[in-house]
Amino acid sequence: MQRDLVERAQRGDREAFGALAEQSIGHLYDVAQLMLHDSDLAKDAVQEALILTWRDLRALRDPDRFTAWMRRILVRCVYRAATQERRQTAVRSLDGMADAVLPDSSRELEDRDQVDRGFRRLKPELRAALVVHHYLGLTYDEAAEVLGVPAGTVKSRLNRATAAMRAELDAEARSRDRMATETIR
Amino acid sequence: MTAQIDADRTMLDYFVARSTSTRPDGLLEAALTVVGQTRQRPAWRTLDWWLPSAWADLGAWYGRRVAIVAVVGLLIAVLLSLVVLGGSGHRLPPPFGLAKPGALAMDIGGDIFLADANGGNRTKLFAGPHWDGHAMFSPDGTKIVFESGQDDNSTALMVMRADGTGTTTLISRMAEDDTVISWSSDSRWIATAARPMDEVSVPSGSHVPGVDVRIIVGDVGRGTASIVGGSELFGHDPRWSPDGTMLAFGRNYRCCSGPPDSLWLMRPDGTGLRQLSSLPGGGVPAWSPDGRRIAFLAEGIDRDSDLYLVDVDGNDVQKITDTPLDESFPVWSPDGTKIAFLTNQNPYGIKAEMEILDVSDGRVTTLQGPFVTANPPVWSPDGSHILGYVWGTPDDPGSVQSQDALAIFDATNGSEAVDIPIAGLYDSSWQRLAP
Repeated sequence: MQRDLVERAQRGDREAFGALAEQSIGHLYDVAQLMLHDSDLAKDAVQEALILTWRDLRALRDPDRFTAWMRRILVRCVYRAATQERRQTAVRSLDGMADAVLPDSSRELEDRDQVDRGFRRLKPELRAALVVHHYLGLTYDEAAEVLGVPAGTVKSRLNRATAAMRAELDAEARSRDRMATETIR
Repeated sequence: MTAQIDADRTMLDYFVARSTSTRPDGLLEAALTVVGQTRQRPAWRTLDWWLPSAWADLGAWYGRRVAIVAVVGLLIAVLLSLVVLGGSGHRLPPPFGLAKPGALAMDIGGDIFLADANGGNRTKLFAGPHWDGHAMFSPDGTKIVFESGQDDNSTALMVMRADGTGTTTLISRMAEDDTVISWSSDSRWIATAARPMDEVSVPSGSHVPGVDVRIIVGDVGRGTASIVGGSELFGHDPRWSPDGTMLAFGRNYRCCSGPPDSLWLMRPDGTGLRQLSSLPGGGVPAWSPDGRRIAFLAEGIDRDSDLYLVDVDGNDVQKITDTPLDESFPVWSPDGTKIAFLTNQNPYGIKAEMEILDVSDGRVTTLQGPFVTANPPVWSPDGSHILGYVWGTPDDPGSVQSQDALAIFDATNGSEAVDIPIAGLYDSSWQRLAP
């Protein structure tokens, strides 16, 4: 079914592409906002990704690879959006995403905030590696295709990202212990 | 190991909590609005088409230093390629616009030949058991599609490499017709109009030529083809738009009823049917290289065939010729400044004058040379010359020449055309090479 839509879209059928976009847009936005942590930038990235997907669709040789191919375009757009974010001096506020957080225990929320702080300090390339591997569940080879790098690079980025996150969590824990000790004194 | 599992679980929990199942209002509509205003790029303009997909991003990923090394390496590779392949024609030309003239593919005596640009040094490329003809080079100059007669009196559309190797059948069992073939600009697809033999339902002898002709689109890369437009769409002379998104064609209706033929557009999958001109007899479209205008033929007041121009949105219809004669086969010059066409001087289709329309000022010039047949003129890829064909038929009342010949008209300074006698010449196609 998707292959048929892709082939029709490759021949210039905008209705078929509209159907593909409707199927994909929720997933694309989800991935983009996880990588970017900013709903406005995520919207920009998704919109750009859909337009580029349409514009370059004829270059897709195997219609069955459409999803991976579109994800790869999205990742490029996410990087561009992240570059814009870094260039802007104004600090964007996180919006929308707090609403998506499910009710949880205070301890879990605290842990999640720590992960959140660590995640936001990562470079976009490392964030993307974490999202495609841990959230999308892609293997190293699949992640490599989406990210456009060799599988070995995916592994090293995941290691670096995980190490950075762990360092952030350790620093947070030490800081909490120190504050607790000072309070007791 | 446990630490790794914990890290994996922590990240997954984090992402799941952060993910959202709703999509922002208006995002899809906004994106599709822009998509509606965006043209698809031909595949050849996309890096992914030339490189394995994963390679396309590597430069950006490996940082500035590696990117510089890659660029330098690429330049060295290009220079080496130029040294090794220099002048051998292995580079591909752009799909439209000016290009360097290559060889001619010619139909001579029912076989396909490759020849120099002056018709000399001929090599036989394909000789089937029956008639082979209508050879046409792909825009990138690497392939030739042609029609080939079969034992069951049907014809097949076949594709081979420019050197005559790798022949494959793309469409089979077509009833014999004066086939028109149009390549898409990316050299991947062809469109043609033919009567599929298995679909012909009118009793033998009652067939009205052209009435049952269907539009067929073939995927040359995959070797597949299909009739487009549903069971009630009949048409002739399909021509791809330069961007590959549309086909212009002359539409007609099933035997002997319905409105007269007229000019229509549709997407290559048969959707998006749109009448471009309601002028009766509309057909034989020719897209300008920029894809904005279409030259076509339609009936004048005295039912002769006149040349018209129309914008691709259907506006600004201009009647270019208003003669009592039949004009035929408009073909745009590669640079889009001129249109070559034929003016038939007699009803036999073998005595036509070669004319050129200057699109900027509407001036029509008759080129100096012999009368030619009503076969489509062929521009040289550099826009300097036009090919016509002389059929020598001494016993025919329409005869104008004693022998068959290739006529090479000068499109730039109007000097007299050069005749090169070639017995059995039917028509030809000019290979485009990288400038």
